[in-house]
Amino acid sequence: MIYKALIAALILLLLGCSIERNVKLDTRLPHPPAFKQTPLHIGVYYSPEFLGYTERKQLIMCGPSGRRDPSDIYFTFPVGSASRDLFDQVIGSMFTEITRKAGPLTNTSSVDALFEPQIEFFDWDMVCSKDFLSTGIISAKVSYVIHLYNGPDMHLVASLHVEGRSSEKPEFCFEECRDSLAAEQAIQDAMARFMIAFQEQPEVKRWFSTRTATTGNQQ
Amino acid sequence: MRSLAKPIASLSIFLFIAACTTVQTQSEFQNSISLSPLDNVVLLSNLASDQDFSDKDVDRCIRPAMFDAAPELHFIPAKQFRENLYPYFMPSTTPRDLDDYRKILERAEVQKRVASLGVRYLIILTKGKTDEDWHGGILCGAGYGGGGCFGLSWWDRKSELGLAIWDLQNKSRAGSVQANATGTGIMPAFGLPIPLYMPATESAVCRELGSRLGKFLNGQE
Repeated sequence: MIYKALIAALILLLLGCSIERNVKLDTRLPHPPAFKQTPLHIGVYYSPEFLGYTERKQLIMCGPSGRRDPSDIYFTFPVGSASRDLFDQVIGSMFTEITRKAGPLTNTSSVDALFEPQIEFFDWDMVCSKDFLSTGIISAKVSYVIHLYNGPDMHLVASLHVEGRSSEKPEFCFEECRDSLAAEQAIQDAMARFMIAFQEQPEVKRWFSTRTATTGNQQ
Repeated sequence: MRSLAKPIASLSIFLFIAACTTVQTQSEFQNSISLSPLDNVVLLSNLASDQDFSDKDVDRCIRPAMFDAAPELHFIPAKQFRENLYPYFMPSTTPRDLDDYRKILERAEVQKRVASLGVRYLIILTKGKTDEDWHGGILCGAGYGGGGCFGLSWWDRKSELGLAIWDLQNKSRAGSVQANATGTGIMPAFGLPIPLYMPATESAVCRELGSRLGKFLNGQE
């Protein structure tokens, strides 16, 4: 996709224009994650800030000896909606029952816990090698903080910080071109980290043991 | 200028003769193995530590020589393996040591997925880099009557690759293999700089490693 954009950029640059491109991100996994479900009823709340989170990034080209040349090509990444799609799938594979909540305090007594994910940052850049015929690698990073509240009293149990990253070589592409430019993989990496780190967090472990004891569920 | 051309030409010829790619290999295999026709192999890059080699690069590098050495091997695409084993084997969740592998492979859901894919051996990149060191010099100039370059450059190139082999059925490390290749490239300039020899160190390492791994999985080593 970068090369198509570059050819178009060359034409448009001659006309003094810049290119804006809305990147389509499909973070959903083709198979359910290989993960054991816990029998708990979980609520999820996505804030408007989370859902509407987008980042506009300028494409950097690599010049001789790693020189960074800003181009007039801009990509807009819909990080919030892409994160929601994957978080829905991930949470669905971690717990047996999921309810989407309209607000952070909306009828939380019916759920065992409530998750509220927030995006801390999203970064996307071209990393240029230092050799004379410099080549670039696209690098994407995303960071989330995911709050876990105890269902009935909305007491904050834990806040998990998870980061995901990915890198991808720009490639000539004519068929079946992927549009993600490493962003999808970075989001998937962060969510994978969340799934594993969640179980290891001491506060979560303590909460789990009390919760499963009171509800009679077993992990 | 003519007085310099002779020594440079002689040096070029000497370096051209001296320039060749040498490969060194180290391998350590735990046990000889017998692969059943249902056992598959998967080749993975290490997304956690290596940006230069993607799954596709590792596949392009290793698979052809492995297949030449052991045509009966069946490969599962890295993408299919990663998609089935999510959330494991992502950049942040790739297991690093024997304990990590055991922890993951003991999970029932993981065992089910590995079994359904029929993957017996996972071959994962542990090290992959290529370094170049340039010497000599080429001077270029231009005037009203034209332009050109004159001089001689040569560069030492070293490629190193290492791979670990994990037996997913026995939850153990089956071995590791590393290779490095060095070579010198030459680029004289008599008017235009034209490389006379470019050392293909990376493909030499790939061929050597692929061949070793193919023989190992074939029970020949």
